[in-house]
Amino acid sequence: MRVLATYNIKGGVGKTSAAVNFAALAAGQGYRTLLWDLDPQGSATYLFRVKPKVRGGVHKLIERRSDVAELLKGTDIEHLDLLPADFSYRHMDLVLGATKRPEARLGRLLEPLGRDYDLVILDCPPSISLLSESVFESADALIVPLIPATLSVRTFEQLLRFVEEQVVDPPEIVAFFSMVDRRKRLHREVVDGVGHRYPQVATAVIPAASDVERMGVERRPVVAYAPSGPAGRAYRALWDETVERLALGPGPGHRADPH
Amino acid sequence: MPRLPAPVVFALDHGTGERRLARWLPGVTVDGATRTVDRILLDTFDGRLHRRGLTVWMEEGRDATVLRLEEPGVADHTAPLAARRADRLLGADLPDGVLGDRLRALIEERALLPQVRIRVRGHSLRICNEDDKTVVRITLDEPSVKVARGVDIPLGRRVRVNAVLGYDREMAKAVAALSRRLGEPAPPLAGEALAAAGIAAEGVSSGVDVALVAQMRSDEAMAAICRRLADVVDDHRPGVLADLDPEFLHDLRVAVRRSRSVLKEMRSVLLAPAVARARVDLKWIQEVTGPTRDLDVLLHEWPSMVGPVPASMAADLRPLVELLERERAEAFTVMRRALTSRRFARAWAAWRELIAEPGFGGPDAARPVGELAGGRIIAVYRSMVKAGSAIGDGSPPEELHELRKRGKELRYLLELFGVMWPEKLVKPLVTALKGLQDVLGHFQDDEIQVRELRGLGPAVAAAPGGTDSLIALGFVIDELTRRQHAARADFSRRFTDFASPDNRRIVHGTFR
Ligand SMILES: Nc1ncnc2c1ncn2[C@@H]1O[C@H](COP(=O)(O)OP(=O)(O)OP(=O)(O)O)[C@@H](O)[C@H]1O
Ligand SMILES: [Mg+2]
Repeated sequence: MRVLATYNIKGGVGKTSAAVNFAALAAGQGYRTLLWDLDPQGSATYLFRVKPKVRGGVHKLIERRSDVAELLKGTDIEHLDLLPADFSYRHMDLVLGATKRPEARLGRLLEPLGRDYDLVILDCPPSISLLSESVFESADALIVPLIPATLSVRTFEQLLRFVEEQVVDPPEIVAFFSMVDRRKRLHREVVDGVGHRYPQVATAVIPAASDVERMGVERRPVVAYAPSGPAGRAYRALWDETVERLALGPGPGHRADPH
Repeated sequence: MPRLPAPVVFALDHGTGERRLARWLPGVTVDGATRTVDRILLDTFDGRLHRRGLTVWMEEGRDATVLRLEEPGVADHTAPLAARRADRLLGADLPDGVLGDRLRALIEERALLPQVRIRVRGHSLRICNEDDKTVVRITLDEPSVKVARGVDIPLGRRVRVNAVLGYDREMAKAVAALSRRLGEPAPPLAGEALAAAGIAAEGVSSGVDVALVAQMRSDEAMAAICRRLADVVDDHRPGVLADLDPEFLHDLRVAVRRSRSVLKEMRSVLLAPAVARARVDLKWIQEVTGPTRDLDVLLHEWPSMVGPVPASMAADLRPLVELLERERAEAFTVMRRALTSRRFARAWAAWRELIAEPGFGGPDAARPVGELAGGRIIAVYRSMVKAGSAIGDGSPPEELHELRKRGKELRYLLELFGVMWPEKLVKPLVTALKGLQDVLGHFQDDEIQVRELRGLGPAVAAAPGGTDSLIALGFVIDELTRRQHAARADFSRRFTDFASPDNRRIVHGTFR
C-alpha cells in the first residue's frame, strides 16, 4: 500500500481537485484506492456525493475507538472508496495533540487497511499543523499544487526545507503547476523558470479550465465527465507522470471486475 | 474489501424486467450499460473446491482476466490473473496475495481445470439516494452455458444485488423488497451450469471405497476392487496424456501399484497363468511411468533442495533446472508413446477382461475374503516386524528399501480391505505404519534423487559454465545426503512404534 497526500499550506490551489481526479484515475487502472478526506470543509466528500457524517466523529476515529473499516463509503467509481470528513475534523489538531505520538497516528490508523488497498490518497486541509506533520510522516509522497506566482514558489521552498529538516522519514515530493493560464506572461515565466530549477516539479501542468470548476455542480471528478477535455487530459498526463516518478507500477488491471 | 455484505441473487421469471424492478425498488435507475462476460468455472479433477462449497471462476473481461472466488455469505473476492495457459492453472500460475494463497493451499499439486464455460449478459441498474449517489448496484443477468461449439443453453435469468460499501441499510432494504416478490435467493449459478452441461460437480475421485463384507467370496471381492482401480486408471489416463498436473500420473501409478499388490497378495484366488500375464503387464505399466514420476518429484522438491545453496551460487543452478526439465520432457514423450501404444491397449484389454468376470478358479477363489485378507495382513505385518528388527546401524540401505516395499503392501491391504474391520482398531495401525513409511520414503527418495543428480554430472560439466553448476550441484547432493542421514536416524523410533506390543496385539487379535 502506498500513501500519497495532496498538500499545500495555501488554500484554494487545487489540492482537492488533484486528489479526487488522481483517485479516480488510479481506481480506473485497477489500483484498489482509498481517498481520505482530512478537511473539515469536506470538499472531496461532497464531490463524491457522500454525506459529511463520521460516526463517533474525529475523536473516536483518532483515538482508535471506532473501526475505520466501518466508516468507509464506496463511491460511484469502481475500486474507489472514501473515508469522509465531517465538521468534527476541525478539532483534528486538538485530538491529535492529546495522543502519545501524534506524528505516527495517521500511519497507525491506515495500517489495518493495507490488505484492502493498493493506494491511499490523503486530501489535506490548507495549514501547517500537527495534522500536516502526521501526514508528512505517514505519506510516501506529497503531491503539491503550485499557483504560478512568485510568492507560491517561496512557500514551496519553505516546504522543501521543512520536510528535509524536520521529517524523520521524508516523503518524496511531486509538485505541479495548477490553474495555469498560458496566455499570461507571468504564468509562462514562472512555470518555465521554476520547472527548470526544481527537479520535484512535474512537466505536466494543469491549465485553468472551466471543466474543473464545473466539478462542484457535477459532483464527479473531471476525468469522469470530461476525460478528453483539456483538464481531463492534463490530469491524466500528470497522473501518468506521477506514477512514473514514484514508480507505483502499472495498475493491477482489476478493470474486468463487474459490479 | 472490508465489511462488504455478500451479494444476493434471485431467480427471475421471464416477464420480470427493468420496469417491474423499478416499481419494486424506489430510486432505481437504469445505468444503460450492458456487459457480456465469459466465465469459466474452475475446479480440480477431484472436485476440491466444490467439496468446500467454493466456486472459482476465471472471468475474461475486455482488458483483463480475473479470478473470482464466490463463497456463500461473503462478498466475492477477485484478483487479476496473468494466465499463461487457458487449459489449466497450477499453483504457480495463481496470483500473489490472499486469494492465490488460499487456493494454492487447497489445490496443492493439482491443477485448476475448466469445468464449464458460461456467458453472462448483464444489464446494470442502480439505486440512488437523494444526492443521486449510488447506494446499491443491481444487474439483470442472462446467463447461458456453452455445451459445444456454437451450442449454448440458456440458464435461468437472475437479478443480482450488490452492496456498496457503507450502505448496508439500503442493501438490506433492496434485498427485503425483492425477496417479498421473488422469494428465496436463487441457487448458485455454477450448479445450474454444471447440471445443464451434464457434468458432475463432485469431480472424479481416486479413492477406492468398495463395500466389502468378510463373508464375500474372495474372487468377487478381488474383482470388485480391481475394477474400481482400473476405473481410476482410465479416469486419469487422459489427464496424464494431456500433462495437466503431476497428480494424474501419481494417482494412476498408485492405482496400478495397488492392483499389483492385490494380485500378489491374492494370487491364490486366480489360476497361475492368468496371474503371470497380468503381473508382467502391470509391472510394465509401472515401469514406463516411473521415470516421468521421479522427475516430477525431483522438480517439485527442487526449491526445497536448493534452499540451503548459498545465494551466490543460486544462478549456477539454473542450467541444471533446465536440464531436468528437458529430461522430464523426454521421459514424458517416451511415456506417452508407451501409454498410447498397441502394447498398452492389448495389456489393458486383457486385464480388464480378466477382472470383468469373477470365477477365477484358483484354490482360494471361494474362500471368504475376510479370512484371506486378514491372513495376509498378519503375515505381512509379521514379516515387517522381523525384517525391521534385524536392521541395525550397519545394515545396507537395500534392507530399508525392502522394508518400505513390504510396508506399501501392508498399507494397500489395510486401505483396500480394512473396511471389513472396526475403524478404531485399524486406524492406529495405519497411523503407525504411515509414520514408518514416511521415514523410509524420505530415505529412499533422497537416495534416488542423489543418484539422479549424480547421473547428470557429465552433462552438466559439458555445458558452458558447467564447472560452476557442478560445484553448486555438489551442494545440493550434500544436502540431500544429510537429509537422508536424518531420515535414517529417525527410523528406529518409528519402527519401535510400529512394532509396539500394542500394535502386535491389535494385529493378531483383529485380523485372525
Ligand atoms: N485547474 C483549474 N481550473 C479552474 N478552476 C480550478 C482549477 N483547479 C481548481 N479550481 C477551482 O478552484 C477552487 C479550489 O480548488 P480546490 O478545492 O481543488 O483547491 P484546494 O487547494 O483543495 O482548496 P482548499 O485549500 O480550500 O482545500 C475550486 O473552486 C475549484 O473548482
Ligand atoms: Mg481542498
